Amino acid sequence: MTTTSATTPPDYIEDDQAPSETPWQLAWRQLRKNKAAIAGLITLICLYGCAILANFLSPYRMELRSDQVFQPPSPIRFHNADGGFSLRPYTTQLKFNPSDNAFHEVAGTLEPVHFLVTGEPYRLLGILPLRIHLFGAPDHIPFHLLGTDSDGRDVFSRLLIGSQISLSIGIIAICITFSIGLTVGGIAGYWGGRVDSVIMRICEVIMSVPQFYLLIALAGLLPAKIDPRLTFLMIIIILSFVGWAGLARVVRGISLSVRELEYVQAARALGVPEGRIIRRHILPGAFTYASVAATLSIPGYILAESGLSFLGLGIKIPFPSWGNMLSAAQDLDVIQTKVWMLCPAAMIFITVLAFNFLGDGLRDALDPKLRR
Amino acid sequence: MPQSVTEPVLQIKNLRTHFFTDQGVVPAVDGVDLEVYPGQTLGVVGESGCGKSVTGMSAMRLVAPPGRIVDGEILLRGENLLKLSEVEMSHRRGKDLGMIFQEPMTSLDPLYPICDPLMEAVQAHRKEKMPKADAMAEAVRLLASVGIPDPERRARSYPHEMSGGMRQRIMIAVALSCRPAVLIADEPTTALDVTVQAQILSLLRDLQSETGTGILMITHNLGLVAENCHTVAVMYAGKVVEKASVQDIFKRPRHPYTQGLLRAVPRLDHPAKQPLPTIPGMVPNPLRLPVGCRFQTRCAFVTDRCRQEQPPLEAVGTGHLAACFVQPEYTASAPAHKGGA
Repeated sequence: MTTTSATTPPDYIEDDQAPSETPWQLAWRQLRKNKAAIAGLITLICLYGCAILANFLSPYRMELRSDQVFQPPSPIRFHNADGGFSLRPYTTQLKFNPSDNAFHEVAGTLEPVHFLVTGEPYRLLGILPLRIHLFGAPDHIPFHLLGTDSDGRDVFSRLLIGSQISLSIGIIAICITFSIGLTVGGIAGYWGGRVDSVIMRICEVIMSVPQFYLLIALAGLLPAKIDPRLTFLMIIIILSFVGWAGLARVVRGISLSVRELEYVQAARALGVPEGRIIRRHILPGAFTYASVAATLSIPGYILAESGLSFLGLGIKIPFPSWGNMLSAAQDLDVIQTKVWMLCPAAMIFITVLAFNFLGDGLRDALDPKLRR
Repeated sequence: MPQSVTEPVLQIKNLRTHFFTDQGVVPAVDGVDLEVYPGQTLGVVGESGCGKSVTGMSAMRLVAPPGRIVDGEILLRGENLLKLSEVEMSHRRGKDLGMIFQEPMTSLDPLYPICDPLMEAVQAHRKEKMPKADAMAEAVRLLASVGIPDPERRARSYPHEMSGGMRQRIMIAVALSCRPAVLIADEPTTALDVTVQAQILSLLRDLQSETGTGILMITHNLGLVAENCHTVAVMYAGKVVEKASVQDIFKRPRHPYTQGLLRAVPRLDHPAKQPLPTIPGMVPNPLRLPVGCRFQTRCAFVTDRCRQEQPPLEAVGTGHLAACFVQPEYTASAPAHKGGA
């Protein structure tokens, strides 16, 4: 020890004995202030929670057909047959009347909706064998919370099962593009020069191909009759293949600027190996920006999957996805008279909006200008 | 003055670092010779853009493209660093050559607690892996050695919780963690306020007398040079124009540029109403340097010879070198300017 420090007054305030806040805690505190972002986050947690519990929440099997074609949503009443108020919801049967081309309630069929009923067997998360469902009406009363489609399948059940596909595609595709984009962009930005030029030209070639056309062309190459799980996988690969270039460009730009920051220079002046500098200093610096870019680009993948499925090139019926469910709502008659068929569009809308709100909030929370 | 018996620990010989820009070649450093002796401090002074920092970065071999070291030798204990491979060089950085940067506010990665760069430094140059606990203990010891109070707790703090002075102390601890033979300090106190400046500099002096590190201090603050350096090199437009002991530079400056710099320092014993003397004109465009002496456009003593020939750096006294044909006597008041015509 030298004598200097003894005479040096501490030039920080010695009042906080609490452990230091990590940058993540700081960002979380910033994020919590943003109400729209928190609303988006909660919405997304609910959506993904529903997707995970889809089999439990859905009263019917997603491919189960009935003769109730285009049945409107079943009515829900909070009174029993005597007209007295009841907390338990009641529903009635709807029957199609060809004379006026509409569904009407069948008198005297008011039946209670039961909760946690035993129904179709399923495997929760693909593992846990269960028969219990959140709700269900007696077997002789068809209970379709959001109506039925052109084949008499329960829209509510299909919406839930479809969300598993539509929501996971965005997440998985972004995980793949994120890792490719981060690696490729990080390398291009850090080394610069010729490596950078070559990588960026490749990215530009990929980006200059009209994206939707490329998607359609690639999807068209898939054989028509393959395992739907394989289709799912192929769609993810196609989406990632098209999507990584944009993210790589963003990351490259960020690592170009992070490379010039003094803490990177300082690490180099310490003789820290290059790989470690990229891994420990460049990529984490780029990570915050890139995760914002990623959050904001997830809706793009969800929309792209919907678009492909809408055109019949994605997930094939009877397997539901929001996109192929929406393709049933193409003609004007359906849009005008069978409004419940637009539920998947509403779900896409809510999801995309929630991701955008969250992404915007993350951008504000992670903005280093507010912190440094 | 350095004793002739001591060998310089770092010797820069005829260093040329040029930047190959789209507009042409910029000779940012153009034939510079410098020597750093163990336990001593060499001050490199000059205006912005005269090549001070590039010289420092060249010694670390960290000049970024389009800059390139085109000629010269950088001898660390007699070994030419420019002949080493990039991998060998990265083993020298931090271990034999340390560096402190100008901006303590951005020199620490905001994502990691401050023990991280210290642990990175002590672990970087070891053959066998050092246990994390040992590295942490070493980091705490280093923090204590630069006068950080309560180092155990502070080691887990983040850079944004520290003041500029604290951060610069940490940067010094990082740079000195491997006890390098040479420390390159690129304007280490420019971003700090005056009291903190004094603390940092006295800390550097103490550590230097403890470890015998040779310091290359890049600065434009002449007051700092007077107090901290043993020898001084004055740079102008990529060249060393005068090199001497700190006493000679301040008492008997021989180059008109050095004299101009000294006159431009505000002094308490000068009348307050009198305007501060300045060096007229601007640093010449490095793409179109004049033939002959580079200072000719701003020099009051310019002769025809200065416009045709570059004055060599020649001995004008014991250990005193200057690159000027005229070598006017130093006067406190500015001479009438006749250059630039």
